[in-house]
Amino acid sequence: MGIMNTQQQNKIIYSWYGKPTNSDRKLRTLQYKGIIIKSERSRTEKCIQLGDFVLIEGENADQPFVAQLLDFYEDGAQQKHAVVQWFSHITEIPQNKRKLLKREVSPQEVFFDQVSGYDNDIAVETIIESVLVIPLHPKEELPITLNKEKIFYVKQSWDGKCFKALSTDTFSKLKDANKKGDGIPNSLNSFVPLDIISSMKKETKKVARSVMKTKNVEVEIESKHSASKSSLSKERYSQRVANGTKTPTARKKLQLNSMYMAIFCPFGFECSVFRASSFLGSLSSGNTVFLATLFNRSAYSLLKTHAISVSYSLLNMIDSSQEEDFLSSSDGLYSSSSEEEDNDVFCTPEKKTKAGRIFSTPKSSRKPSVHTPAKTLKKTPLPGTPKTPRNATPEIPRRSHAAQKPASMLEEARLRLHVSAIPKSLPCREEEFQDIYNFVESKLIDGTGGCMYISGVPGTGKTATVHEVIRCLQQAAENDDVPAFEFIEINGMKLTDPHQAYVQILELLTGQKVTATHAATLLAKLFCTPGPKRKTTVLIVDELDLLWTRKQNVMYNLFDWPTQKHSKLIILAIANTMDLPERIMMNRVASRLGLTRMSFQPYTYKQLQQIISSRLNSVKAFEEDAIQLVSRKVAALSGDARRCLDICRRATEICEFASQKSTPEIVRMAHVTEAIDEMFSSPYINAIRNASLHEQIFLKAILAEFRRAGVEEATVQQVYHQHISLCRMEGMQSPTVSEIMAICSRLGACRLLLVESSNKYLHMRVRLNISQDDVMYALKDE
Amino acid sequence: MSKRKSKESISTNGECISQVQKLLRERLCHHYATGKLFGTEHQYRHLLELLKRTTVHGESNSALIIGPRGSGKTALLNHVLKDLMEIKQVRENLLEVRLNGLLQTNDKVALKEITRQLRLENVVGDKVFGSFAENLAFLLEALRKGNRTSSCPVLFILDEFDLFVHHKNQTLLYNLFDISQSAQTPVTVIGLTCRQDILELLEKRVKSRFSHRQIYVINSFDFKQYVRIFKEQLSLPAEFPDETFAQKWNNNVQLLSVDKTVQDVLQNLFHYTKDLRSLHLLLMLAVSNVTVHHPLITASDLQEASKQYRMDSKANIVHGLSVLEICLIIAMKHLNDVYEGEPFNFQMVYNEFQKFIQRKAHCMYNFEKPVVMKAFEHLLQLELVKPIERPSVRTQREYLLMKLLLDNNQIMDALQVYPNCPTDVKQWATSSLSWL
Repeated sequence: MGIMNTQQQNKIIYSWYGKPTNSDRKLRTLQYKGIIIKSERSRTEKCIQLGDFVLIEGENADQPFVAQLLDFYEDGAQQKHAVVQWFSHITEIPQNKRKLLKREVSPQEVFFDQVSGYDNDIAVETIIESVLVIPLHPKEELPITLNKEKIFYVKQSWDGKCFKALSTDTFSKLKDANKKGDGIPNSLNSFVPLDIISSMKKETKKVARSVMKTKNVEVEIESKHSASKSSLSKERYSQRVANGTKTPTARKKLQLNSMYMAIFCPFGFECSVFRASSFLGSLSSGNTVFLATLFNRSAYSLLKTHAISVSYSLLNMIDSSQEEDFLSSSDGLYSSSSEEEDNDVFCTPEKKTKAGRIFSTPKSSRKPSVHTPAKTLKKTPLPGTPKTPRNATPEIPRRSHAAQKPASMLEEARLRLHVSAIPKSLPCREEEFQDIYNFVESKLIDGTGGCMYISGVPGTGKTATVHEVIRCLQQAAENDDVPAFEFIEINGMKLTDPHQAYVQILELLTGQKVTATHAATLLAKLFCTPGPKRKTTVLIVDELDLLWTRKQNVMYNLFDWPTQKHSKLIILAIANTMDLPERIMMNRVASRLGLTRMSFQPYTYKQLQQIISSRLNSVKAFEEDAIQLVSRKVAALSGDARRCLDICRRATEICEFASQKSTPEIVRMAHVTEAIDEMFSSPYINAIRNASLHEQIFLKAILAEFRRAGVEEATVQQVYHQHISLCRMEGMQSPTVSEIMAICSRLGACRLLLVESSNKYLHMRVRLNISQDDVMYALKDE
Repeated sequence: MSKRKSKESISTNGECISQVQKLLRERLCHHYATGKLFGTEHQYRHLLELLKRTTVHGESNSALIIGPRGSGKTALLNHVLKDLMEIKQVRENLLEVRLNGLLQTNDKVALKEITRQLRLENVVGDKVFGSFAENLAFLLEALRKGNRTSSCPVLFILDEFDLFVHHKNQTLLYNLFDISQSAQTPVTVIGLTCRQDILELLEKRVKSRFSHRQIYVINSFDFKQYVRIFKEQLSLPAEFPDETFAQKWNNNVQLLSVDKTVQDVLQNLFHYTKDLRSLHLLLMLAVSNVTVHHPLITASDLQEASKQYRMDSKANIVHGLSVLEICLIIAMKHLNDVYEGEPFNFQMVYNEFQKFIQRKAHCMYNFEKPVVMKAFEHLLQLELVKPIERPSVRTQREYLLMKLLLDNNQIMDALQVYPNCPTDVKQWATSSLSWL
């Protein structure tokens, strides 16, 4: 039921309020002074005017942006636009800059945004609702309010580099903006016939009176911000009403209606969703006002009882602020009451519906916009498996003893040579680094999107270089050399399914957890529509080939988004094979990937040598020749830097082991050779030499049988006969068939032999997994 | 060690014998938990140092322990871990995760098991909920958050490592090795496998992330050491309560180890396999014979055990067959000889059998065809004969092509010991042409 409601709720109509105030012939724009947002389901309207503060739908449903409306206009294509002055929430300010504030910032505080580069032209469909932004002097404390989502305070401005106190000019402007809503009688009044107003006035006389009364006290309350929560809830709510709206009665009436909307949509679906956090937010936002109003209006007695119970649970919740407790204690109460209240809405008394009808303007017949209000997004985090702890923090326990510091030179060297150790700079990849850096930097500065494909065999420093680029760019962004950007990374190998890529990207971008299909649509919406206040996103897609699906839609989407005009998405795709686009991608995917490609060549021995030396830096743990030997060996095999480092690390261990008694020495050629032998020697010869006698005879028998038959495959029965004759020659007791089978399966398990499945018993076919020469060599020496 | 003497001490011996039984059975059954290591000192040192560095310095590593079945890979690892746990700093600083390729057959199951064993916060009671993707993301996030100096090192032990290689995309291995090569929570991944070609099975990206440390465990001891192992496995420890009995027992073991028959038994086993488990099995059979009346192991006990141990399984089945079934097997043997191992069908076998019967004019074997068919089907059930193709509706049962799963030697050996075998059948077995 809840979801149904919200879907109906979605139909929101935006229409201009009043006649165009100004028109620009050249640009073919018409300016307006307000907009009416009409919701079909609850038949309510809100009027938002120039100068009002509003919440703007952001990428993340939980974090709408705050802005002040500066201008409304309709362009030639009949699109409704608004020009806004942004306010930044603390979460929008980069982590490293937050410390500049040197104080705790309440979630209700916003900053007057003076960052250049944010697009301040938005579509009106993104406006959610109006809020209040109150300017405060820097020294002033934030008043404590219950109405957390509706009121914001601004003390300082933020220009992307530092925080400044509000200039007196801005301060007074903001102050004025608040007063304007307060002072001028709401122009909607002119649309409302007087008799209705008076009838409404009668109805809400009490409210009005209490408002009048409390308004005078309001300032004191704000300064005192009495924290007493236990009693007088009634009075406080009424104060809150006054505080929140500050409008004459008629306007209040309107506000009230919009309040219903604000409430019933959470009421409708929140009970089915039970997402505690958003629940708490939305409850404390409008509902308190609403409930309080209801409280004062004695008209709806049924509603009232519910209101009381809900308001009490609300109080409990605010007191304890423990979501779990709250959910368990008021679940039942909540769902029951919300249902009834929903019913109440449908059978609301005449006045309310009348009011709704009155306010509907002829223009509202405009098609409902496609856009979904941000609130519906909240329903997406569907309740998962009920038993899973929702907010489990992924964490490995801490160790009880501190890790030891490297004591000797060899230990120090080992630490530095570990692949995980991040060197200060990446030697031998300067060119590639510069290319990637330039690519990303240019895209960042242009504010456009693009793709780059990076290939190279494993261990050639692809991911390391890209990360280094990002690190440098982040540094640059901090110094304001390039525009700030968001960096996210996904790895094909770390996904269980290619489609999970969407989920991860969305979660990294906005923190929402949704299903793959939903994530895909949300991302498409995010990247394909002009979003307000969006930073460029740099996305690294590691192990790209694993995102391959039969339809290739994941790859297609990934490479399609950067080509969209508004995406501001830069993708760096990494994979092993150079010709991946040609080999596995469809033409339309490969074409979108573009031709910006780079391939990382395997390291040459000189480069490997340099890498080791630079990592060791001043630690003299290796002989120069030893390093060269490792580098040459690895360069000849694969050019994999990881291998190189691993060998060096093993060599230090061998060295340490050898020199345990005597004084510590440096790693020499002998140690390195041993390490290389250990890693690259074929294990088969040794395995054969250490096999039991009958196992060796069995191998000999296989060779004999191969020679006899001239085919490199034999059945166990044939080999068995050879084995028996060999045993007779040596004068040994010949094994039984069961023993032969066991020997055969043992050799098969080590993969010295390749054997068929054992249910064929004697007719099982056997093949050697190594060359006959190797077997002969291994057996001859004894 | 006379019988009378042992009889006198029955009452006191009863207690001793049960203790000996308990002690030795425990040692022989849970050989990897208590047993000593033989000939793997070098590997032991390597592994010990590796794990010590993980716990003490928080260094990430990965290694594979490779060796044939029964070579003591798990024993080596357990031994190292047992010794490590005696160090306080290690005991309190190590999380252990044990996985087995036979139990964790896919990455989804493996991930849940890892999360469960690590007791991360999304574990409820003893269960892990949530989808595969959620679990993977959660685990990776948990491991990513840690760092070398402050997080508790995690030791991943992957038994039957080769089976993990077959998981889709080798996701689990990639991630484990990737963590071991990046600055995250220190982990050490130890894989145990018997496959020598394991490195070739790793995907190139996974292979690159693996540190290529391979510890080969091979039974490299010779026969002298083998006898010494035999002695050590059978000897009673010094802390055994009854000292005199322990003395006597150990002396007996010493005597056994130089006995010619015992040496022969051991030599045969040693030639057959160097796997210590088979030695344990042999000793187990021998130790089971120890009773109050028979307090010490004798050479004949070992010989008997060896005979039991080396018994051919199919020959055992042949012992229990009826004469008619034996006759059918002999007929099949002749068919094999004539047609050089080409498959045959029931009709051919029946004809061959008929030839034998007509020749000898023996009424006692003159069975009806359905009876012979029944006997043939019994052989089929015992898997002494195997159809080479699936029985289908179209082919009649008589004409289904079969193969004999016995070797000529097996048949002849079995006939030798077959009780009350008619002589003419024996003669027929040796040669199909005897009537000439």
